[in-house]
Amino acid sequence: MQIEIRENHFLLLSQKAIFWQETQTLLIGDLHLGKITHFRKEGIAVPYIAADNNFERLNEIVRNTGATRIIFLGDLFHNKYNAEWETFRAWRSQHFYIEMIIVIGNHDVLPVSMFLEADLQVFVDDFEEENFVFTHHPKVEPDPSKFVFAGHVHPVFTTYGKGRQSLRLPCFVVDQNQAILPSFGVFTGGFQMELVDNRKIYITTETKVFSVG
Amino acid sequence: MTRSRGHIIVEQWFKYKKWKWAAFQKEAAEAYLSGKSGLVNAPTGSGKTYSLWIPFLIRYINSLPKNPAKRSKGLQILWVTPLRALSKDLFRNMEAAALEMNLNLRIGVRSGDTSTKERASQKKQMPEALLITPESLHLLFAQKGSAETFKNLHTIVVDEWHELMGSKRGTQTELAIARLRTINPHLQTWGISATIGNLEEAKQVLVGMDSAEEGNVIIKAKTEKKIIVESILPERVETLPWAGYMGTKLVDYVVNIVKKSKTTLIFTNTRSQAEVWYRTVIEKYPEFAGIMALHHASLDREVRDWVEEALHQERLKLVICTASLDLGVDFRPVDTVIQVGSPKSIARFIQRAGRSGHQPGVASKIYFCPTNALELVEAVSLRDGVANKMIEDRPPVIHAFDVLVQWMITLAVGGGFEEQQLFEEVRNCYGYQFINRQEWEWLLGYITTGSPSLEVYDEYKKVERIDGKYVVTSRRIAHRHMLSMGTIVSDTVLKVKFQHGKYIGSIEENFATRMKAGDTFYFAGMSLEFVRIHEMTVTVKKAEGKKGFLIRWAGSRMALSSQLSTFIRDRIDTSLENPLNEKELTKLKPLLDLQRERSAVPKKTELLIEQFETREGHHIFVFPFEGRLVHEGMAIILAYRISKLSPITFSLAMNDYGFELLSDQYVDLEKVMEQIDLFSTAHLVDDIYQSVNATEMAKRKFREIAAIAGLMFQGYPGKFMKTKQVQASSSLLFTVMTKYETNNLLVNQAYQEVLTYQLEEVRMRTALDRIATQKIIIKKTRKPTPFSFPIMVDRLREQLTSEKLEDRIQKMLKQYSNAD
Repeated sequence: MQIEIRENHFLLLSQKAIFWQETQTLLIGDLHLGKITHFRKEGIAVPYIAADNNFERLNEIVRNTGATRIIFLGDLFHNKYNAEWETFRAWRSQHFYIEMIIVIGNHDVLPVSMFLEADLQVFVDDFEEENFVFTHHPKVEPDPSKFVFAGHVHPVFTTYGKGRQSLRLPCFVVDQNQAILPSFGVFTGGFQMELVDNRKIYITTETKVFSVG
Repeated sequence: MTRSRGHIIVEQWFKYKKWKWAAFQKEAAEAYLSGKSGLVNAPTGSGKTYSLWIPFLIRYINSLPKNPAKRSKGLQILWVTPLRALSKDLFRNMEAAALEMNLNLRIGVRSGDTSTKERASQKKQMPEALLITPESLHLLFAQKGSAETFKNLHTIVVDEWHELMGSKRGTQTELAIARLRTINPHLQTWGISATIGNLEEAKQVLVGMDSAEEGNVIIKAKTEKKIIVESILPERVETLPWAGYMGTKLVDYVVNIVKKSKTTLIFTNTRSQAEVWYRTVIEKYPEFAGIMALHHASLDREVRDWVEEALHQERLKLVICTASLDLGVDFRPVDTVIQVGSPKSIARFIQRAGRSGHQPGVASKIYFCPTNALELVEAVSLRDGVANKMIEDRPPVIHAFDVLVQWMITLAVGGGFEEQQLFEEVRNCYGYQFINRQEWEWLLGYITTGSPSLEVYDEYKKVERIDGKYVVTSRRIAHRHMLSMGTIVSDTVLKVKFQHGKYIGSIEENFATRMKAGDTFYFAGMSLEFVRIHEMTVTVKKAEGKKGFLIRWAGSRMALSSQLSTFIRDRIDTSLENPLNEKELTKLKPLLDLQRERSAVPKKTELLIEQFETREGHHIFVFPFEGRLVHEGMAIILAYRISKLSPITFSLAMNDYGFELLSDQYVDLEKVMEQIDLFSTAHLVDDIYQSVNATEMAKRKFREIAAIAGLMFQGYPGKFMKTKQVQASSSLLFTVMTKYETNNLLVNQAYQEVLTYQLEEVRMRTALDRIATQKIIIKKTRKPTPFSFPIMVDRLREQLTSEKLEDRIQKMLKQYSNAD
């Protein structure tokens, strides 16, 4: 689904990412790579195969969009170093021709040098370009002259229907001056969002994005 | 009986106490002293403790050598109790007997409340007798050298076995006993149980699979206690609501009874209900301040201890309680028991009735206070059930892999285990008798490589295999395991305390996080103002007179037992012909008339179905009167079978009388029933599996399983720990495990638990067979009926769909835009 923000065009992808058409840039929030291995190291037996799914979906959107740049909106890697980082580096070198940027999130505790080594540009707080700000934590009062893209909250939305039906799905949240992306990672939870004035919500299934309200 | 030294001392003691051996006590002593194992079936207050404690003392005395210095030290008897609270009273009684016989015998207590100092001293030298909870017993096995601790143990007694057996704590007990039997093959295992339908099975679970028939016995106390059941009836049936479960409308009637009695216990079915009743009574009858108390499981132990002590000392006229007072010691002053709302089981009702009238020869009297009109039928049925002594079974838990995983890790922490030996041991447990080698290997893989195979190796670390032994070497893993062992509850609870530091009790996190400073809520019979939440503690202050929120605790609603539902069907059947047979039904007549006017009152040979339409959609109500669990199963089966015909989504609700399928589409039931047999038992298991799959039921069951199997570490209850990095919700774990792993035994267990305990497949099959012989009556109604209304207003709903996700969203979103 395409939406327009400040005269720029953004595709909301059902793989839970955004493609910024003018700059051929993919925006990806909260990948939480390494989380599965982190759990396993702590003796919690999450199936390790699940980690592969993240890369399958990454490959799919890179292929489909032909993006030349990716901005990771924080929480790329969950907690301390583990073997999944190497899988990510291998994936990174396969896609050497793509420019990659990370704004650091609260779970990104790896030393900055490791991101640099993996050929990522690192922004500790915000990354700004034109009138757009890319960051991890959503702004409480975003500056109206700019537009913010953020992650962190893992938004989900519940729709209700006749016959007391309800459905809870990941969503994109688009406010006047800020958009929040759903979390990209397979092994992440969700935080319930409400529909308020001047807010658009886009829920997504694995195949399609829908606009709500 | 041979007159050993022990016998002589005991007989002197009996003489001194001016007591006589009851027949069952004598019988138990003989069986015990001849080396047998078994089960003592006796009610609370009958001297059941002494039936095994005294024979143990006889054995103890006879085993004492002439020279006291040569006395062998160490643990000889374990006494397992389900509640820490019980151990205090047991300890008093046991110690009194030992002291009065001049025995130098140490008795210890071990539970979550035992101080570190006491633990350390026990570690150095175990007392001869130890009172313990199942969780604490498992913790002993997590210590190094547990075999040494138990090497002189010759007897284990499990108190209130009927209560433990039906739960996973019963399974814990089974596993521990099996291990103790490996350490000492001559271990004598005894249980003490109230009357349940399956006593024989209860004994079998206790003594294990390979115990010889002649080596164990059931000993029954002959105590014919008369129970009088009386319903509290309003002047007019209109006083009672059609739906609802609080029952405070009848508070005046109830207080009248309380005033006429010396001491009354009011049993409610939920904690919220107890809180509401407390508040209602104090508001209408302020004179009860100071002589009334509240008792439920979320109140601080100290508060509960105080209430129990005050009950003993006759300082209280009224205690409003939940199942928290079902078990344990007798409160002699109690002469009246009132049950608010249906207890749903005859056994539970009888047990509660038994909390009054302890004087010999005095009947136990229990009042039943209905909370809604239809419960009047249950009142009559309860009386039938008590009169006919229809006691329900307590089925033991089978194939609880989560508990087994926890146990394996416990043993690995406490010095390790050899898998072949443990496998044999586990297979000797009733609850795991059918476990096969393949499942066992999956479990070994799960704890060592975190995957179904033993070969895969990545960074997963929990149990390691060293020199043929399975052990935990990481101190961190061991520590974390010990902390999470006791917590079979999977909800995070927060402590509640006053600003000056006094603890009041605990509430669930999801309630606490919805509060903000200044909000008021009712808890522990007080109105409290929320001050702040910090490090797993909620600080409050008193808020006099302000209206507040009512806390709701999570917890499943009890379902009508099959025994009770049979009585109810009979009563409904005859209600219209002989309304004057029972006074409850006479009261109910206007309501049944209305039911007949708007729809029908089904005979035993009929199955009633009602259909009608509201703004919410198209409702279908079915009334098999089989209890909510069976209805839940039938509802999903019917919804599934209808949904196979064409894409449709249902939301489902149920109570003990019937269930509802609600949809945004009309279903032509006559036509559906021409096409398929909705109530058929053919392909039942397959259909259940498919339909459970289409709902969230297994996912919800997985919560508890994940917590027990150590997938969800939440820190120590009440203590704050930095665990966020390894926290994931059970539903997320379930989703990932289902999607990326086939045949995960813990996921399978969630399905199995839904089938066996939630939907009661066996009962459902019987019910469907019965329905096959019934005539189906479909009534199109214009208004909700007395039968359908309580189900219609229920908000807890399950969904089942055969529509495509995208289509459903499209439809829902269209409704949104229509609303604008």
